[in-house]
Amino acid sequence: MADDFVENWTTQTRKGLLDLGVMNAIRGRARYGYEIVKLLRGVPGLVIGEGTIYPILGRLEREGLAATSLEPSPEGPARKYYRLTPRGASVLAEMNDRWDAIGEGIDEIRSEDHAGDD
Amino acid sequence: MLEMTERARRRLEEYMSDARRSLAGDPGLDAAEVLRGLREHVDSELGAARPARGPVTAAEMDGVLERLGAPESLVEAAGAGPKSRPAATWTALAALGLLLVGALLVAGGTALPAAFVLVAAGLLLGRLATGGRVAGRAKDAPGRLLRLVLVASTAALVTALLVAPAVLVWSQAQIGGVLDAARNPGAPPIPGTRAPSYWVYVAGVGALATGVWWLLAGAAAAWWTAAVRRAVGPFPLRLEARHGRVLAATGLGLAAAGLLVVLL
Repeated sequence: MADDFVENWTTQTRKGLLDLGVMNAIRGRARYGYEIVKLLRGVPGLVIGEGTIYPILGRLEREGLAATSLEPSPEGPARKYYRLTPRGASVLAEMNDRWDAIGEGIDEIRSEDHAGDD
Repeated sequence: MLEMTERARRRLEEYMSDARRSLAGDPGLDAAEVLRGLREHVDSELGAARPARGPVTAAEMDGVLERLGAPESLVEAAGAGPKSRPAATWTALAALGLLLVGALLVAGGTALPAAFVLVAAGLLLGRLATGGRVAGRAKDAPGRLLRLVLVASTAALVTALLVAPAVLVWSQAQIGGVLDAARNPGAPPIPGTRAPSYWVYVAGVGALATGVWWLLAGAAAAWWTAAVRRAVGPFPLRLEARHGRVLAATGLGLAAAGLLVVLL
């Protein structure tokens, strides 16, 4: 049951972090889907089903957080590139701030001296 | 254009078709764009250095599709947040219990009709607990419990399908013995009531029935591979037409052997 708990927690955490990862990947420069996947592969445990990136990109576009453009590819058909819109950049800045604050808060709790707890 | 074998092309088409069906469940998503992204991903992943390596094989395609994840998970990813599945967990537990009790009864050879009902109910609940994931991969089922249900229900389903005729013939043979014993109360209990030749005959009939069944099942798997794969998924995801042909040929051999025994 402990494994189930950890797995459930990981799944929930991953869903939120995938958005954050994808948005950070297209911050400052346009990238195409596969390029984003390759970048996120470097984050251990973040991307389980690589196909899930594409609906997320679609949602970001639908919500006006990402804009797209078709660019010719030397390897085949044109590729769809994604980049953050100004609104997307503003939303991401807030998300990054919150993520930093949560991370710092958790780190602080973890680094507290719990010697007296035992 | 990416070159691929016929099998690889079929795998890709099936995946895209499942993905299209899954994405249709969320009208807020532009399914065509997501499918375009998936296809672009496959092309990019397999396109690198391809000219030197020949057409994409089914195994290579399976690897890429597996990394993409189950088509059913695509809509979940687009959703706002995780959904808990406590009902599925309880259903999974109930399914496991039914399968276990049913399997024990079958193994013990007692209350066979009730045992089959329990196994069937366990299978149905198991499929229910794993929801739309039956067409995906085992690892996509949430939690160890559901994976266990998936393994148990699929193993039970495949085993039941393969040995059903033999079990039926055997139980009929036993019933025949019981009826004889009822007619002749003084007779010793089964199976000792029957001469060894009777059980050889039963074995022959069992082999004949099982062989014909395997022949039919193998032919179905060879001709309607995708449909069979979906019906007994997710584990036989790699089921191919040639596996069906092997099963059909084995069935033919078994049926011939059984027929020989029966006739002799």
